Amino acid sequence: MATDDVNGRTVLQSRSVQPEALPRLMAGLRTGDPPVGLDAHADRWGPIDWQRARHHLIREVEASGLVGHGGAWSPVDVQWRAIARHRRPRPIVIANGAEGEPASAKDALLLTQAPHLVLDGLMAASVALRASAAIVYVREQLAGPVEAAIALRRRRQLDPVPVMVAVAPEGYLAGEASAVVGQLNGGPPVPSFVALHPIRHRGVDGRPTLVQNAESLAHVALIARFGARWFRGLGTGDLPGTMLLSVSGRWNEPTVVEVPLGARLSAVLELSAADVDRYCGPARWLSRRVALCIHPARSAPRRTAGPSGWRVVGERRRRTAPGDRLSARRGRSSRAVHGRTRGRAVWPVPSRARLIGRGSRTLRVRAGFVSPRCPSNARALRSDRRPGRVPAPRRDRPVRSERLRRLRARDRRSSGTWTVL
Amino acid sequence: MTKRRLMLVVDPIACAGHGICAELLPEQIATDPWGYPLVSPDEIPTGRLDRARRAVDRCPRQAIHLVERAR
Repeated sequence: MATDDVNGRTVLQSRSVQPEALPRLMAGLRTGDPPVGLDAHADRWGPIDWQRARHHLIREVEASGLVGHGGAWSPVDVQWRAIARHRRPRPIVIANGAEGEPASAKDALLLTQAPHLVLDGLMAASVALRASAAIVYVREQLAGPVEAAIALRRRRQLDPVPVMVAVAPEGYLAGEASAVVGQLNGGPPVPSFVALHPIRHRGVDGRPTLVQNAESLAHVALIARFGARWFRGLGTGDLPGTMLLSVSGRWNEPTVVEVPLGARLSAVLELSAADVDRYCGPARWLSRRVALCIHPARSAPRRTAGPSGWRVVGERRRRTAPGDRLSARRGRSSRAVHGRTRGRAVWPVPSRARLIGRGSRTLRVRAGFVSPRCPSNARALRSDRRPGRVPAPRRDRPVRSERLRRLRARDRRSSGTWTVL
Repeated sequence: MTKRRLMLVVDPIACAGHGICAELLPEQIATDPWGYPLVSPDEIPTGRLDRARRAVDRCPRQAIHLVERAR
């Protein structure tokens, strides 16, 4: 593959693939088609130069500005460099396909329909980081197809680093990075306190561990072939490339669409409503239909700051007005609030009354996801079990509105636990 | 001798809100309405270091830690 020098850095030259062309990850995925086999995958994308990946991929990923698609939007090159600093013991790379968010189907789509993209990216990352092993962490229903793809690659000896599949338990929190590491280390699949021993220093088996979303690895697979400049052909300067959105609504079939970062929400809605085979893929794995919920990247839960400064694990629901640009701004904290699009959950609702109904349902859905380890939930559980042992709050929090109070009361009665919104 | 910049970090999962740390080091640790600590992320001045170490040792859940402050 030809190379040329850009600012003194060797850059892979693009093959015949045009930078402005959509789709990228979803190329060749047509509704109703069988999964893309290894031969079709090799025909479409060509081989990866492993030697070049070993020495130049981290720089290439940095030049491309790729951000993680697991939800936190943290720069992938920063994650990789933190791992690459440790030579001994050799790190482990995990492709996170747990996708605990019920309304997100993008990772499931990639892992069943185009597994070789994710596996290529996993291998590229493993080679670049000198990993000793790679793991694909998926739910039980996806384990079969992924294992078949891995077995096929093993027969042709395509993978430079040994790969194995680990089954993720059901549950929203099972996909959180420290929960993944905890589960693989033999413990429960719940988040743990990682400030003292971050996963990048000590993770699975005590080794530096990289937990990367499956979609991010699929992007890496294409960057390893076509380079940073190709990748930057779509998207914005700050957030280049494309992303997958899981769109489910009452008027159309649940779909996954690929859009450039920074796309307008209205364009996405039109795209998902139209029957464009080129762009949309089936989303058979959506376990819950919600009234128009767009989840571009929130396939893994993350930590957010609660009201009293505590770290609460779980997801926060946000609302926004339609028509806003779908983008994620990366601030100093990955939890940065960006304008009114505070994240990726969007509900264009027709009236205020419906809004309350949706909020309540969200509370109930989310309440089921919270683990006893969440500090605020721990307080609620303790006060349920041993009333009187925990001192009551010294001052009553002023309730913002009567409706909010009713929502919280309703949810507290129903499940005994509640999440912090 | 290089001066280490230390700060206090609470493990929210292990913490049960006993409040001993807040009593020992009220300048750095406040409590929320339920008694759980709110630790200031500032560096601990040398004069308070021994009280900070005492707070770390006396936590019944071993939930508070003294760590090197990331630059």
